[in-house]
Amino acid sequence: MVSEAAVNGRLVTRRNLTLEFVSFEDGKEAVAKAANYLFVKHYANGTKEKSDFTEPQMAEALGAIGSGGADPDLLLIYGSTRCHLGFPAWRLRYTEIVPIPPAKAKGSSRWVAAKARGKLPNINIFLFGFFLSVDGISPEMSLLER
Amino acid sequence: MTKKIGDQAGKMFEYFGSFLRKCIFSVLSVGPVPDHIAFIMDGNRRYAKKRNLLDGAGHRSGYLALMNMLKYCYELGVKYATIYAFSIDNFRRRPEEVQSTMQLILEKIEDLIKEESMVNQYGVRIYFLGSLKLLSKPVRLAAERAMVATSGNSKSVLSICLAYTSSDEILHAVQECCGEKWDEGSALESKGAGNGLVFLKGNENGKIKPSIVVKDLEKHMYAAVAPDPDIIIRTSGETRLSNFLLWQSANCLLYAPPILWPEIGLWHLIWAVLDFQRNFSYLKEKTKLS
Repeated sequence: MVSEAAVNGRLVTRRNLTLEFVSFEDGKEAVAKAANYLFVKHYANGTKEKSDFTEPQMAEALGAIGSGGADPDLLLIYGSTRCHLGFPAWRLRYTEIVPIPPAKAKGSSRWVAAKARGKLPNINIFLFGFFLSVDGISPEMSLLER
Repeated sequence: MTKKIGDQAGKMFEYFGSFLRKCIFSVLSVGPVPDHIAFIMDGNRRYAKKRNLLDGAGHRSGYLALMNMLKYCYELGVKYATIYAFSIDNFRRRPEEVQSTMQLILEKIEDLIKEESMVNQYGVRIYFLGSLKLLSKPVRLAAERAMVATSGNSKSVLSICLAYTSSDEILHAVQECCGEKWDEGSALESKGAGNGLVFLKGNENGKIKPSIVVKDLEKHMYAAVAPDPDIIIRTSGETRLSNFLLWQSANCLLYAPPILWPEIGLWHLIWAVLDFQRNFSYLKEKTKLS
């Protein structure tokens, strides 16, 4: 649902915001659960299926066990080490991984928004630990000023 | 005569460079040295365009840069190196480009297994990781020959990811685990255990349940031939992993120098290792927790 309002003379477009929390267990453990799900589903008739599993089937299995969701376009890592620390591998395939150094972390909203605009014009942003999903960024305002 | 003097000067320069590297690596080795470094060799085509070179010349320059980087890694004491040579996604490029890249890969695999190559000099065992059935027969056979020819080497390991993506690797591991569990269940059933396949019949007794765990999946990963990487270096300043070692890189330092792959040199490796040493305690703690 989109509505428009004027704030301080600027046009502000509101979009839905989805907050998703992800933990370490949504990584490798989730893939193991998805493997069990696929095993029961595809071998349930008592015969071994010949065809290999496909990526859509894996994505469906991850969704069925509660670890599905869109792949983030941008992963912001707050901390001194450039390391994704086990973010769900299946969702990290083409994600831009941007470390936010401690010096930038305070007052980083404009810096992050500038980096985000530089990398991708219309993006869904997820933060590991918690997610912010925005359907596109309005060019009139930075994400973190919302 | 002039050529002889030139050759001698070249050799002296090489000896001096090697001596200087030994000194630098001795100092670096005071701190922790990474066991495994992985490389995403990004920027070969842009390098060729930048230097107005012919198609394919960028990849050839990239190969020379790769040989140097591997030499430096093995001299430093890095036991495992992994390179992202060709992604499954790369098959979508123009057919002529794919063909030319495959031809270069075939040529370089043959070079690698020659007696005088760097691989034998440093005792490197080669593995090819990926869905090799997607490769053409000549390339697949060359890869298999290289793995057999170097199977006796044990000082270092070079894993070459060819027709590889992490998602394909994970799917393959899942497929193998399911096949394994099926075979285990069928074997129990045939021995008259009676409840081998009960989980497939809707858990009638609830005694046996499918139990694929993370360790089972890790056993079947293509990259199980090496420990998890300590550093992934991707050139061109790009910060994506592009479906490379996603499963294995949870506690791995990501280093993205803003240079094209053929421009990479010793100093970039030194910088990456120093960065690794700065973050070693933190990464070690994270690895223990996981």
